[in-house]
This record gives sequence, structure tokens and C-alpha cells, in this order.
Amino acid sequence: MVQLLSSDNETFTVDKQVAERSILIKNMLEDVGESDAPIPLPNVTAKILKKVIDWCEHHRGDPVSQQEEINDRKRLTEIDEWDQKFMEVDQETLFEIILAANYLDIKPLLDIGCKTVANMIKGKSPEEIRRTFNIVNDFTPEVRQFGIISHCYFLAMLST
Amino acid sequence: MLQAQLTQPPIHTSSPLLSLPYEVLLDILQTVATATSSLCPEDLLNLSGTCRHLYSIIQTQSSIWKLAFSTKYDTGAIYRRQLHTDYNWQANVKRRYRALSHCAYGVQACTSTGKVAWLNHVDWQCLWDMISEHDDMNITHILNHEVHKAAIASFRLGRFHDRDTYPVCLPILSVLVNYDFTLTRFLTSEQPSQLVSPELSQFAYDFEADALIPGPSYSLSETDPAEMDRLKLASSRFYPAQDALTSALHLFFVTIFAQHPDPYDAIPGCIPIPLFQLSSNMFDVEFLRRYERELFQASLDESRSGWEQRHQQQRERSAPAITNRYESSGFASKERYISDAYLVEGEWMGYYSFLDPDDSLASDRSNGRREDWFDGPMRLTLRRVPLDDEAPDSDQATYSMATSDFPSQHLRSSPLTRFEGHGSDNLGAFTITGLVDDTECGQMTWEKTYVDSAETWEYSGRFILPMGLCGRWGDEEYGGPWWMWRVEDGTSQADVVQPLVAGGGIAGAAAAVAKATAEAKL
Repeated sequence: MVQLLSSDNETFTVDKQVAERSILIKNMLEDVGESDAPIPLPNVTAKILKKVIDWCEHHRGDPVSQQEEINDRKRLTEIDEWDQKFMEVDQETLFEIILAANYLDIKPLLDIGCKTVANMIKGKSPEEIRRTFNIVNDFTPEVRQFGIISHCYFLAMLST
Repeated sequence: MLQAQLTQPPIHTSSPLLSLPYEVLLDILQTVATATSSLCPEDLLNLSGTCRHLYSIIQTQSSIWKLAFSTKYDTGAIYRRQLHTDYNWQANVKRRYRALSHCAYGVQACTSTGKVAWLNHVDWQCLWDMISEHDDMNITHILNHEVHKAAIASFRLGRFHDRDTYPVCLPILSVLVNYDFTLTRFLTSEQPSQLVSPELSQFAYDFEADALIPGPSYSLSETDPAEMDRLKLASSRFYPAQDALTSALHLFFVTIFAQHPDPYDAIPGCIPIPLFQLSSNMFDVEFLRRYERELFQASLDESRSGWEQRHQQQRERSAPAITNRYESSGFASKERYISDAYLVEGEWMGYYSFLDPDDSLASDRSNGRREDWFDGPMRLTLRRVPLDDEAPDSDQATYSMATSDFPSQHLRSSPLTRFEGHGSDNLGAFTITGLVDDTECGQMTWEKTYVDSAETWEYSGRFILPMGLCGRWGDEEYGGPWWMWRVEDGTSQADVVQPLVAGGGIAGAAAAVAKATAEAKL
């Protein structure tokens, strides 16, 4: 078993095989060797660490090769049903899971997070995307006008 | 410095998306690029229209567009031909979608309103690139966007417009007919006594009709501005290096077999014709010939530019010079010739046709048109032989098919390839001796001599991959077209395939042919 310490000082005891879904933790365990001391994870809160552990528990049997097989040509946005439900969280939690997956180096979880965000972008207009992700339109009025015109022009060209 | 600026999100942003580390944000943008099943990069464009940070990343990160491109289009040929190093993925994603959409909307508009002006703006070059780079995905887009119908429309209107699109629409049709056999119904004659359209038939039998198909024009130092403008316009038109006349002859045969009410009765010993599956490597030589032509035109432009400067007549900035990307291989030099002549070796099967000069019924028909006659299939075996002054196998090394060896495996030091062979048709056994001339883009000439009668016929033609060899035999007095395809094992180029689009409107003979070819494959 391995002990993980969240940024808000909560300790989680998890199976070593589960913890090693994280390349960061796997490398730390290899560097440190056998030790009872908890591994500090200063960038991950208890709430998010629990979610990440849940995900790793569910995917503990997945072959590692499958995790790393990122085929550029098949970077599809389909997500399996369990992962879809897992990602049905508020936007703040979603981005915290993505950041944690990035920090802990769990590529498959990061991919699912990126796919979830990509799916939130699909089919939306610029204004809808801005509203969804709280983005400020910082184009200058001139660029905004020109940008809108050229953008509309291109889309019009695509559809005529 | 620029990269650093781009990777910095706006200071004080409250957007969780923009606050992500750059590499994670890039990962999301790459996922967006590949997410949509549509060819339109609309999601990326919409995202780039939200704020400056996303706009900068999307406009400058070619990896995003490379992914957007490679999930929709085949890239094998782009990498093999070493075009990827300076390939503008973004521009090509947009250009291809525009070109395809233009055809789809044009055909739709043409059907409902009869308007054809859109044909003047078809981006044939872009469409041909897609076809000649096809391995798995491109042809599906081409067919889904009605490019074959645009090519048919262009061909049917061609004779009213100096046939200026024939050099591109005939090769496109010749290739796409393998995927949609029903295209041939647009290539038939309205006269009941004639099967193939007069336009296509004239290329089969009228040796002087070759001149009706325009070819690439090269302009150098014309002093007449009007003539110079005409030449410039002609040289700016896109011409594939797949020969248009050869394509027309292939279409002629396919139309006969697809539309004849009973080819098994009309042709002695009739065997079905095959359909072919494309792969981009079959177009590597076509690509090299086209590229060599571009380099040649660019060198002429440079010469003209110098001439104009000397005479203070420069009216516009000349196009930037093209660099020979294969210079180290000797490509486009006087010492190396682009060649696919080695493909002549092997087993071949095919047909020739002719018009019977003694067809007495012709005079009874209203238009005096004679029927296409076939003597039945011919089968032959060809092999390369050394030229008189050439050591055996002197150029074998250049025939390595290693893909890492591009373009060297298509370059030869000698422009001539001699071949010999033997075969038989319904008239008896024959021998063959011929020559492929790579100074004439693979022009091939051969003599077929019947063993018993010692009768000799002249044949000329060209490769038209993947369909084989096509050309004409005989002369103005007596002769016609021929087509031969390779008949080897499953590794040959002549794999038989079912057309993608089957059913509606297909002639009985074509359906039988398709069925027979499928059975042949089994």
C-alpha cells in the first residue's frame, strides 16, 4: 500500500498498483524505494485526489500500452460511459481534474479531460464559447470588426 | 520570444480554460481539431474568434492543423514525397474544404437551376492532389462531394470551351470510374447506332483529334503582349501529368463494357474488365513529371523576368522561384529521367478495337457511323531487354522500390527502355518488340508481329496507372484504341474491386462485369 498526502493535508491509502497509474508517483516510488512516509502532492486537493484515485481504481486493470497508444489519426472525442459519468462535474472540478492529471502524469485521464472540454466546444459559436468558459473578448474594435468580417467571409465561402 | 508571448494567457484571466498550462491547452485544441467528423474546421475557427490568446495559438501552431489535416486526409504521399517539411497544413485544410464544397454545391445548383458558371472556379489542382494522394480516405471525400459529377459536367461542356478542362477532367474521370461505374452512362452516344459518345470516339479513332486536347504551354519572351497574356493564362492552368488522351481511351473501353447490352455476344471470348483500387504510390511518377514541369516553367519565368528587366518592361512582379527539393538526387537534371518503364515487365491482358472499313451496313445508317469491333482479348508477356549499347541490368539499382529512396527509385540515367515479348489473340500468336521513351513522358511504341502471317502492326501508348497501358494501334486508315491491364497475383496493381457506388442506372452488362470481377477476385 502507498500513502498519498493532499495539499490540504488529508492522507489517502491506496494500492500500489493503483497509485502507479500516475507516472509521477511511480517514479517517486522508484526513487525513494520502500518507505512508509506519505508522498506529498502539494498541487492536488483532497477533493480532487479522491476523484483521481476513484478513476485509477476503476482503470487499474487497463493495459499500460493502451494508455500510451495515442494515435494522432484517431484522436476521437468518444469517451466510454463510465468515464463520461465520471466527468459529469462542475466546470471548476473538471479543470482541477485536468490539472491534477497533468501534474500526476496520468495521460489517459488527461486525455479524457481534454476530450470532455473539446466536446463542450464542439458546435458552439465564438460568443457561446466565451460564455461557457468565461473568456473576455479582448480583440480591439478594429480587429473585432475585421475578424468578424473575415471569419464570416470564410464560413460563407465554406457554405456556398 | 514569439512563442513565449503566445504561451502567456491574458494576465488576470478568470477563464479556467485560458488558465491551463500551455501544453494542456494545446492538447485540447488538437483534440478539437480532430473531433469533428466534418471536413470543415469550423470549431477551430470559432474558437480562434473568441480572444487574442486562442487566436494566436490556433493561427500559429501548425501541429493543430497538421492533426486536423491528417485525421481527414491521407498523408502517406505527402511524407513519402517529402512535402511535409514546408507543407501549409492550415491553408490546405481550408483549401480542400473549399474545393470540395464548391463541387458539392455547384452540382446541387446545377441540378436545380441548370447554372454552370461555377465550373469556371473549380479548384482542379486541389482535387487532383487529393485523388493522387489517396490511400484510404481521400476518394470517399471526392465522391461524397460529387467531384465525379463536376468532372462529367466539365467534360460534357468542354467542346464549347476549347476543351480547356479536358487535361484534368479526363484523368479524373478515368480514375473515378473505377469507383462509380455508372459514370459511363454520361459518356454514351445519343445516336442509337453508336455506343460511345462521338466526343470520346473521335479520340479513339481520329488520330488528328489529339490536337483538340490542349497541353501545357510554356511562355518565354514573347514580344506581343496579347500573345504573352494568352500564354500566361495557358501556363497558369492546371494540368496533371496523367495523359488526357490516354485517359480518354481508357474511358472509351470502360464505357463500352459498362453500357453494351451484350458484350459477351459482341466480343469473341469476352472477359470482364477489371476495376482498380487507387493508392498514392501509383501516382508518384505522375507527381514527379508534374513537379519537373513546374520547375521548368519557373525557370522560364525567371529567364523572362531577367529579359523584361533588361528591356525595362517589367509589368508585374514575377512569381517567386521554386527550389528543386530533390536536387541532390539528380532530379530535373540532364542526367536523370523520370521513369516507370520497369513496370512494363509482366503478364498483360487487354483489348484493341477498330472500325471495320468494310462495314456495309454503315452506309444504310442515317449518320454513316460504323460500329466498334473487337477481335477478342489479347494476352501477352513482356520483359525488359538491354539496349544495344547498354550492359544488362545497368539501371537495375534505380528500380529499388524502397519508399525511403524517393525520388531516386523513379529516376534513370537512360531515357530509353527496350522491351520484348510474345502473346496471342484471336488472330494467332505474335511477338512484340518495343521502346519506352522517357524524354516523351513515357511514350511507348511497339510492333506486334503475327508469327504465322508475319503481319505487323504499330502500337503506341502510355502508362495510365493504376489501369495499365492505353494507346492507339495502326494508322489513320485502319486502326483504333487499345488497353491492357496487368494480370498478376494479388500483389499486382490490377486488383479487382467492386465499385463503391452500385445500382441505379447501371447497365446490365456493367452489373455482370462488376459481378464477374468480384467473382474473379474470390
